[in-house]
Amino acid sequence: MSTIRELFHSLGNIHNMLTVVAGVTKELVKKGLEGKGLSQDLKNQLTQILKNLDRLIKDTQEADKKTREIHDRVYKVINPDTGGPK
Amino acid sequence: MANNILIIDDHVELTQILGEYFRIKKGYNVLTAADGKVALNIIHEQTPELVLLDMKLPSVNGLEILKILRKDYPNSRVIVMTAYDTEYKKEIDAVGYDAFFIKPILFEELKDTVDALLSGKPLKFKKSTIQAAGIMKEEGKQPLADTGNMIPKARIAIIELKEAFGSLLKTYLEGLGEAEYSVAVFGSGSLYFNKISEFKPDIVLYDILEITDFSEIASKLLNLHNPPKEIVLFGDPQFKWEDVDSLIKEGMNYIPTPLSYPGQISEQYHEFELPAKEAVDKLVYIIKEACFKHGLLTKKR
Repeated sequence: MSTIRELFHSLGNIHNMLTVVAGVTKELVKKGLEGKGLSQDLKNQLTQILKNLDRLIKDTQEADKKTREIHDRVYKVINPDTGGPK
Repeated sequence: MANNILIIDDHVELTQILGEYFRIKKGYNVLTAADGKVALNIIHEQTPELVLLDMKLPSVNGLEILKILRKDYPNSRVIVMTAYDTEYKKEIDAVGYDAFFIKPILFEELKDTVDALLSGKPLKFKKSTIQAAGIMKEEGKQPLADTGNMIPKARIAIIELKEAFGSLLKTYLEGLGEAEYSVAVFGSGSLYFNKISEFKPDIVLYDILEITDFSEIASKLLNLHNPPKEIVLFGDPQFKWEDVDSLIKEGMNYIPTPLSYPGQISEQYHEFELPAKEAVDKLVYIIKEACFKHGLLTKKR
């Protein structure tokens, strides 16, 4: 069974993965938007994708902040390696 | 010839995604390692120009790798990436790095930092990385980058009802080697407002236990001839009432300092128990970043 420390580490990795993947995708979409001959409809859709990705990044950051708060509270009372009280 | 980048992280999928982007879109020669030993072998054999280094690694940890890089490969630039476990931040600071990211990382900033480090351009400040850490919500102008020979210099007012945490923080901040801080602790914002304004703080740390007076005091502070550049809330999260939550929603910075009781904190910083130490580290971090942001700097002596 994973320790509390490992669980937080893994959760942190997931949040990091989300912001990085969304960020990389944003870069790729931005490049796509620079292309010539795109229809206005496609441009609008790509712009909406960028907005959605921004939202995803922002919410992931929020989720991570909440996780940090939980992390701080848990570490205060529990030994993260043994799971026992401090 | 393409720049050699080494990405070291135990999260293999992450290194793959980053690697693919920097290889295909940027044309860099990307190497990856998921554990410390493999990373060291690559460093010895290939001497990468830039290393993206996670701190928590199997076999050899990131701090050890950072020390080796700084000692034996001074020309390699290093971007440190770390998550919640900030216990080693002081040690990491002492060893040195070119850029520091707290996970979750904002890719745009990472990409800009990689490009800047490889091209020798000055770095931009990573505002949102700190936002991600829940440390700062500043929306103002971009602060200065760490230039290496400049250190933070600021007057810091700590407004704290019990003054205990503030007094320890004062001793700690004024004893920091890599900064010149002048710190004053005030037991109340309203009672000692004149003294606070005479002190002319650049940065104000404001205890949330004093929150009932906060709006009035903050507004008076910001109307001073020399208003503080940064006001940061801090205090025990169990007293984070609705007033505080709404201020945070409005964009105020808040640092939880869960052990702010005289009976529970020891007199020496190194004897702090978590999360008090983490709290102090976060405060120190936000102060330092505020200094860089507002140009509160002086030359290293």
